[in-house]
Amino acid sequence: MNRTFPFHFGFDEKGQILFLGPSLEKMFGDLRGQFFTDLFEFERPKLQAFDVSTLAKSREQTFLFRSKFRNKVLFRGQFDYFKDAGFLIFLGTPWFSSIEEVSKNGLSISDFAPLDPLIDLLHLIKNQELVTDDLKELVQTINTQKQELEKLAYVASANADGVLYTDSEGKITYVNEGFLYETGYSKSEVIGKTPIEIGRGPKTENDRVEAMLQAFFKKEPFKLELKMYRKNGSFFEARINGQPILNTQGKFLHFFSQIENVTEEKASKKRIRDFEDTFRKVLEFSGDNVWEHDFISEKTVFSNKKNNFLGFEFEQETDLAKLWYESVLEEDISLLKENDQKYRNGLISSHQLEYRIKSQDGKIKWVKDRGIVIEKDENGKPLKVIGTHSDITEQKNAQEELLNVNKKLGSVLNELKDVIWSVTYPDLNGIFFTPSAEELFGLDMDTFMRDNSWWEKVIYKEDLHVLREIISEVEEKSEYEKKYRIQTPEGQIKWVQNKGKLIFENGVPVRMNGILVDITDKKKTEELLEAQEELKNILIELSSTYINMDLDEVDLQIQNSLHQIGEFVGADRAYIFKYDLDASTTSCTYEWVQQGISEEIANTQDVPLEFIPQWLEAHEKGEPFSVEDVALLDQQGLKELKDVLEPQGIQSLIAIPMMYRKELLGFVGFDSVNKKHTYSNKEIELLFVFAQMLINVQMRKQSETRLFHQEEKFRNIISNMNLGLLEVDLNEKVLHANHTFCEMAGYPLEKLVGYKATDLLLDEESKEKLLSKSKSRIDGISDSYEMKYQRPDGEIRWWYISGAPNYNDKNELIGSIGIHLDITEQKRLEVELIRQREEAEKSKRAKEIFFANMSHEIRTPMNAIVGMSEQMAKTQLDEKQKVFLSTIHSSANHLTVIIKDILDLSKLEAGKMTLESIGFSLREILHKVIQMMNSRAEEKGLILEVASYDLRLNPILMGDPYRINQILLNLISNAVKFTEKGKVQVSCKMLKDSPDSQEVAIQISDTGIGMDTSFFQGNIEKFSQEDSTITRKYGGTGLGLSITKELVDLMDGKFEIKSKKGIGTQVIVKFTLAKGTEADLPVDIPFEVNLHKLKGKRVLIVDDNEFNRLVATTVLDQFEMELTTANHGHEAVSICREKDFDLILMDIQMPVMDGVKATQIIREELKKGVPIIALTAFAMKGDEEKYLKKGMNGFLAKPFQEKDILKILGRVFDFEAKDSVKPIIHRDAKKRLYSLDELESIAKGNKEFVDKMIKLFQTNARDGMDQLKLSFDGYDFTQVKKIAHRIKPSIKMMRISEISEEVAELEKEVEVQQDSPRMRFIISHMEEVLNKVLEDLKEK
Amino acid sequence: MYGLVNKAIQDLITTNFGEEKWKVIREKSQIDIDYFISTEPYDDSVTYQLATAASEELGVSVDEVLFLFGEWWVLETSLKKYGGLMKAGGSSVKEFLTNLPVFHDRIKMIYPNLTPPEFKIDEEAENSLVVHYFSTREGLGGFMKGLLSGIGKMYNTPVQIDHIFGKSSGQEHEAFKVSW
Repeated sequence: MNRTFPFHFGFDEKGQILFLGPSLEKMFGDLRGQFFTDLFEFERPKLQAFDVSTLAKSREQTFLFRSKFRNKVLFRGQFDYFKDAGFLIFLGTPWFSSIEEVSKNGLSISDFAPLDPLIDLLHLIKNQELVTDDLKELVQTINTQKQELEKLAYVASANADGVLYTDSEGKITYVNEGFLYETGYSKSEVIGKTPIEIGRGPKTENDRVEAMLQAFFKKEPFKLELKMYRKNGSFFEARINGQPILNTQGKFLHFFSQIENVTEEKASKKRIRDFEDTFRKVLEFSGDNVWEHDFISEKTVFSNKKNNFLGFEFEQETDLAKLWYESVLEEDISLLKENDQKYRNGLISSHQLEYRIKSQDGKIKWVKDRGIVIEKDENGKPLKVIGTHSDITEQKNAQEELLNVNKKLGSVLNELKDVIWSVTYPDLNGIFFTPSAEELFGLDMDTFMRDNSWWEKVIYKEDLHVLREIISEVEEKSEYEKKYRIQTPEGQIKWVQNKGKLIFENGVPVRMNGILVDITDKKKTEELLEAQEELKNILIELSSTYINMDLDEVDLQIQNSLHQIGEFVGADRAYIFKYDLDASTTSCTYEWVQQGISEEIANTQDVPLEFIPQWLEAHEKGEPFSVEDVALLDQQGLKELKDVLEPQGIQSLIAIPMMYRKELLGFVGFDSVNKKHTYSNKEIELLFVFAQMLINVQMRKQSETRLFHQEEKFRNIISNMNLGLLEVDLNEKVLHANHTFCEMAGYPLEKLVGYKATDLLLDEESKEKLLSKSKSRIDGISDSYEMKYQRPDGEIRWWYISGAPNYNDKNELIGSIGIHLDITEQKRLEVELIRQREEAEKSKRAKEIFFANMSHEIRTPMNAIVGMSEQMAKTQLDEKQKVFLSTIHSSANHLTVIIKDILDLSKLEAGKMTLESIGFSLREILHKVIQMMNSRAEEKGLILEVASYDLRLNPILMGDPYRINQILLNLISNAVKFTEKGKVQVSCKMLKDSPDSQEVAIQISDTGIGMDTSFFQGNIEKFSQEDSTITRKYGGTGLGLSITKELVDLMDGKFEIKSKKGIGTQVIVKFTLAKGTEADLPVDIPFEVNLHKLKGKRVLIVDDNEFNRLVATTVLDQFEMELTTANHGHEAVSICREKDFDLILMDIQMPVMDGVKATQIIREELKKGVPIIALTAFAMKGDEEKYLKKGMNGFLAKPFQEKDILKILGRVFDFEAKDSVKPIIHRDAKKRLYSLDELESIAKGNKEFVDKMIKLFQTNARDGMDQLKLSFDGYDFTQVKKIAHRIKPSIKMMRISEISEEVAELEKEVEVQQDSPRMRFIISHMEEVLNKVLEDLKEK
Repeated sequence: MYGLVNKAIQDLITTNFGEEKWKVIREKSQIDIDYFISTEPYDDSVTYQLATAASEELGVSVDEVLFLFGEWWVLETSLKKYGGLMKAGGSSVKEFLTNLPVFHDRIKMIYPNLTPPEFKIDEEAENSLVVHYFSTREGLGGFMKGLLSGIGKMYNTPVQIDHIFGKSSGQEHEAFKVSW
């Protein structure tokens, strides 16, 4: 397949190429995988779409298709379908229309199957082309030959001479017009006859006829002359040229004869011969040799056969022409040949040549050869020339030598650019000038040589004086050297250096020789250099002016410099423009004009840049823009620019861009109005420097102005802001103070400057502070601080001072600058604010203390009451006693509830109440609450029931079960309390259910007394019951509802009351609670204490209150514990030294040594790890934590119940208790805040003294405390220390023991600790205690 | 020999030596043909006569004339007139020579009255091969060398041609080693 169909290819039914022949691959590359339709398109038959089934069915059909790429090659062939294999094959070849396409497609003949005739066909086509070419060429050849023949025939027929053709027998086959004309025959009369039959006459030379016939029959050419007869019988001298015509094979075709009438020629030849003889004789006298040449015989004869200048004799038969030609020098022979040719062509009839010959002895001789035609034929061509040869060798040699000399000299002088001259003296007429003079002066040589008048004329009019100087110098010194300008007739001005010297002959000056050198270029360079140097100097001068000038001189100086530079560069107008690129305009800012030149500054404001695009374009590139000739701008296509410039009379200009960094600011330009000016590169370079200087000075002005404005702005700000500015040197001496400062300080400026600010303005304390600030300035530290200032009039002002080091421009510290702001008013406000805040805090604190005290004061006795009544109940009592005891017990419980309520409320108010988020069962809580309240309801004969419980409620909800319990207890107990008859119903309902949470509504309805709408609507006041009589009737604090409301709010719940007086009340609380699972339920550790484990444990009870000690011992004694008591900490410590305990119950507040201190000693000094449980009636939030931090292990609030203490014991001794226990009551003694004992002992009964002292204390304590706080807040710890020191004795005197140690601590520590929590605590504690004391004293 | 060949000789001479020279040579060769028709067969003697006359007139050997003519045939006549065909012969000296037998087989088909020579190619090495040349004509060895040299020049590949053997050494055909 590859061999027979190398272009085959197979493709599947989708047309995807599967395989292909090697030649196809060579042509197109590997086509496998590509699709037929992407590669080819059908040409014939026209297929609408590629359809394999059509191709498969058309096996007989020939297909033509083309590749879509690579030369769009046409393929011819057929498709064969191999159904089983599922592919088609194309069998065919590319079809090229010429052999050239084969190689164009990268193929060679070997890529075609040997039996494929395509190549042969293409070859044949090529051949066909060649044959056609051949035919064309052949036709061309034939045509050319035909034309040549026609031309020949025409020549023959047009020939004036007679022409005739004869055949091999001599019969005429053709005659031309010329023959018929000459002989008078007609064509028909001569055709078929022989020339002899026609032309032979009586005088015809028979011998010549014979010769002619002989040649004819031998078929040889002939030429002869004979007499030929015309038809009319007359004859003429005929010259006959006969010529046989043969073909290439030498075969005779015909005989060609030309017949010429030479009758006249013959006659004239005879005449010439006669003349010649005479002429020759004449010539022989005129030359060394007379020669004669016959053009017919080509013979040359010489007259002088001996002594000729060839130097030898020659024979008659010597070919003299040849000999002569051979003797002529090779380089000259062309002269003769040309001359000869001219004669032969009839171009000349005489000649004169000079050339060289070589004589026999080898010498070269110059010959003058002259000649003249003496005989011509009828066509004017010469037949004979006669002439002479003359020997001119010597003459030639002399001439040549002269020429050589001249040439040498000439070449030197011609090359010379400088003019060497020689003139007569004293007339100064020209003798000699080198040719360069013509160029130098622009005059011709004749002018120089004619006379001396031109000397003066050529000198440039301004330099005419030089002529006189030359003359006088010559007279004086015989020589001179001058530089001056000359002007050529064209107006060109040149600088020349003229040097001349007198030449003497026999002591008399006869002429002057000299040299003129064109020094224009040199001069120009010099001038240019000078100008540049001068420009440079001007620029240097300008720059020094600019550097030193004041700002207000800038405009003037720029104007001056424009003048200076403008004048220097010969401009008539110089200007500076600034560009406003945003507005696309440019405006003139400075202008200088020469006298008589119009000022244009007013006309050149806001000139649109569109008028000068080329200008701007050049400047944007940082290039100068120059116009050499405004008049020519038209031709450069810059008409718009011309229209701008021309009205200003400008002829030339240059504009140098002014660039600051890369910003184009403007340009400086120079106009030439009176004359055109072209700027040299160096000039432009220097003008750029000038432009840069202008920018610099403008920039300097700008930045200085900006600086000035800024300074002014800041100065204004300072003065407008009423800031006092004070500048002092390193010694605190005032250097400067602004007006505001003077006003602030209350001193006029002159009282300040030069004085030491610290001495003048500050008291000792402030001075110290300020000096330390000044020291920090040395380290470059700036800071701000407040300072009290006393004006000279005694008024106290507060200043806020911002101080900074002050440096000079060498960066040396020269002092400091302070900016002073009067903040007295703010300070006053601040103090007021602090006072108000303190007051607020004080009252809040008072409340807290009140609650704490209440708690403490009530709980302490309650402890005893509850504890003791519990213990008493265990004893044998009669019925009456039981009733009394029960009353005591319930009263105590009630009181405890009240305290709890109050504490809860205070916690809620303080935001200190925290909520749990633990899992709980609402149903269980509800159940417990009902159970708890049931007995009370039963007592009142009320029905208390759960009316409904929504089963959709999640069994476990997340929240604070204790608070919900409390809320329910409150509400239900209220309902029970205020209902006399009927029922109290509780129902729970689910309001909303979401995947994570549920909204729950709990409703408590009663049939009680109800409330007035006005009372409950959003106005549940604390500490209130609707009617004070209610309190008396129903009891309670009236806090229940408030607390409930607060708790509900805290839990983000809603609280609704619907009530009708006398009908009943419905309270609904709604909470949204998260859903929980069993796992969220707290693990309830069952409280169990194994009482037997307590037996024999050693317990130390420390309490200064004997009731409390009694309660504790009574409770613990039941468990057979070994008990020891101590009255205060100190005692406890002493006992602990001696004895070990298993537990210590430690009261906190005790005289001598408090529980905290005692604990500290036990832990730190005695190193005992015994568990210590704090007992305190100060049960405030955070107390427990505080005590645990102090090294205690637990906390028990008084009053405690037996079970509480058991819990603690259980924890400490890590055992379980089962039996319930009874609480014990305890009480803490009130400690006295102060004592007048000391005072009174000093007074020894003088009450007045005591009162006075108390008053003094009152004043001192209050003021002292105020100052102390102020100083502390002002971080003036030294002052704090001082004040503490001051008030310490009075505290001691008043025996305010609670703070006496603290005040000592404050005095000692405050400078070290500064603003520490401890110091803060002491101060606030001191204040609290002192306030209490003061209150107390006031009351008294 | 087809007119094409004689025409090429005429072309070679007129181009290099002028029309006049051609006329002289033609006359000297004593052939009486003004114009060669490319596709017309002419007697082989015409070619020999022309070569001989040219040799005499130009003062070079007949072999040299034939060599010149061989090169001329390839580089001027064939390339100009049969450019496409020559290029279809291959893209290198080697390919062209390898295709030479096929090429002449095809020529034989196209010009029935022509007896083109027969070729056989022995591949020797990468850069040489042996061309065996079988021809009824005598004394055209120089022509053959010229042709081979011309082919080398056509592909800008200088070739060296060695006449290995031939009728002069008693063999029945000529063999040329072509190396490049």
